[in-house]
Amino acid sequence: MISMKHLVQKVAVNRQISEDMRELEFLWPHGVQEPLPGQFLTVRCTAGTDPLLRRPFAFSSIRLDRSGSGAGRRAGIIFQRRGKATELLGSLEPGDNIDVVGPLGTAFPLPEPGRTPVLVAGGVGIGPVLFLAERLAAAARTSRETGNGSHAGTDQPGSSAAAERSSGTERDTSPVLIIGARSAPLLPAAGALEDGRLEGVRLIRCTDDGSAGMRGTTADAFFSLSAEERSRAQMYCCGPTPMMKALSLAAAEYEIPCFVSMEQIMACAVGACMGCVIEVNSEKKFARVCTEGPVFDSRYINWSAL
Amino acid sequence: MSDTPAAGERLVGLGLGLEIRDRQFPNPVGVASGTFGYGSEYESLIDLSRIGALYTKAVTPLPRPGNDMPRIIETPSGMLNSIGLANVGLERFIAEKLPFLSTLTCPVVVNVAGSVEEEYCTVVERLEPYEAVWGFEINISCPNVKHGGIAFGTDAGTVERLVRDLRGRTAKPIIVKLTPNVTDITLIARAAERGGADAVSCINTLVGMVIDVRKKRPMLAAGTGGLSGPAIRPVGVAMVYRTARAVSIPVIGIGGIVSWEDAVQYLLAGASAVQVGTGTFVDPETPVAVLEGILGYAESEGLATIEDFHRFLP
Repeated sequence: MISMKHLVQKVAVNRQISEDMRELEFLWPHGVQEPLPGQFLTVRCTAGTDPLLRRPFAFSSIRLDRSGSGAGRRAGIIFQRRGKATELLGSLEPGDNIDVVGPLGTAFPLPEPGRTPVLVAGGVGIGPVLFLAERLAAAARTSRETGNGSHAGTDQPGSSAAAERSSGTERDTSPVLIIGARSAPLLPAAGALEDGRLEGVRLIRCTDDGSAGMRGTTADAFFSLSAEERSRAQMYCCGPTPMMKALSLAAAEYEIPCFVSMEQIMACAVGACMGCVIEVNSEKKFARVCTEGPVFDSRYINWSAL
Repeated sequence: MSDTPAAGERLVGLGLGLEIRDRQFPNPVGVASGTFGYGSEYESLIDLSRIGALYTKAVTPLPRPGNDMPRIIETPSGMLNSIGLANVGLERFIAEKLPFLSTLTCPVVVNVAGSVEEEYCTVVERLEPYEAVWGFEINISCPNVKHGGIAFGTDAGTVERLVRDLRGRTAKPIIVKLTPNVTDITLIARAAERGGADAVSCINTLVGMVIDVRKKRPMLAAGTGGLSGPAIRPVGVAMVYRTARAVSIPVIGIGGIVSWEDAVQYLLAGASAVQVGTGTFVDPETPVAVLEGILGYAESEGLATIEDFHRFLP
């Protein structure tokens, strides 16, 4: 299959999930590569020229479309109302067209065998992290159900779990999901994510002001895990830059893998214009968020430049 | 060219192509330097065989990492960019980018940039032997490091001298890309023509700035940037109108083309071909849609050649 396509598809759902966030789902056609957690798309938010540039959004889901139209699948994005473009996006209704280019960029890598995925989402970073949580939870359920650890693919997290089961030291590598926001209205509403996608995910909600869930930052929530959990974790983060920087430092301290999903204003979003780069710790100095990213190993990023 | 040309193309044939020196653009719609990378980036989204000319990202002798971030910001019906001529440099261009470009049927025009005149010469000379290089577009909007950073393209004498120097180093088409940030673009266009340019393209971006009122500093790390997009189109059309009446060489129109009507404005103004730049970011279909629109317009207006477009305005 061709990797990226320009599509005009029908909106299936466009709903509010918190005070300032919405989730929009649209039909994803056959014959187009299925997006992976971490990847993104761009949307043209107006047929006119103002706002001019397409806007990038990470995929928040890909699921079967049960609406009966026979299209098969629906892709989702979660976005925050920030300005005119997202205002327009927020006003789309089921049946309206949405103009997208995708899937684009890099995906989150799978967890190393034996590591517990610890997923951290701050604010609108929830989209790609939720997608990853859902995928990892489904994979963990599958490996528990098959029980004996024999899988067609070597990329299932179950293989080392099987070895541990036989030696009697089985560890749960179901994902931990930490969702943080400044205050309760900014967190996805309690009912918003109750559609089965987080089954098997250990959810920790936190707010800076303590108005919902644990009081503290997402970094505080990470530190609330046991020392053993922290040392066996593999971190995946998406959220405000200071949040990801703090978690990257924590990951370095614990010497655990950490992958972040970065954001930049984009023009072309396909790697042609060099407008979306970030500074990296490499001979090359810059990497494109749209092409080498948006997912990066946190050690690769020059956080002091951000 | 594609195996089965659209109806417009069959009818009009090569009349809407553009002959420059001993070769031609198969159709009048190219994609602008800096917006199309080195071609492969858009391969999945666009049928490259339908492109009339592919202008590569600027090539400098040595690799350039480009400016600090932020490099781009949206403006009303436009955008500012200060990418800083980020490019892989001449040797990596040859080793890593030319192989893919050689597989294309569309003309590949290498955009050439430099800090001093010698750098332009180095690039042109080094690329001259490559069959895959159809011709050169000379980016004179670069700051001339030997003259206090004033852009090459603001001084007619410098432009004439530079073009003459390059003329002696290549038998391929030389297109000089004019900057609008001058008092009288026709003086620069004429200087390029005197120096031996085969065509001029205009306009490059306009100097602009956006200030963050909360942080009280420019939005772009470099301070100012180049403005592109529909906001600048009337400036581009006016400059093409004046330039086409000042030189006898073909003028290639650039600036804010997002629809075929925009492109036709440029053709009516005197352009013999156009480039789509920022428009591709908005919608990857733009270059091909513009081509089909021009062909459809030509057919319905009874225009068989590019010169026919030039008959209407004084």
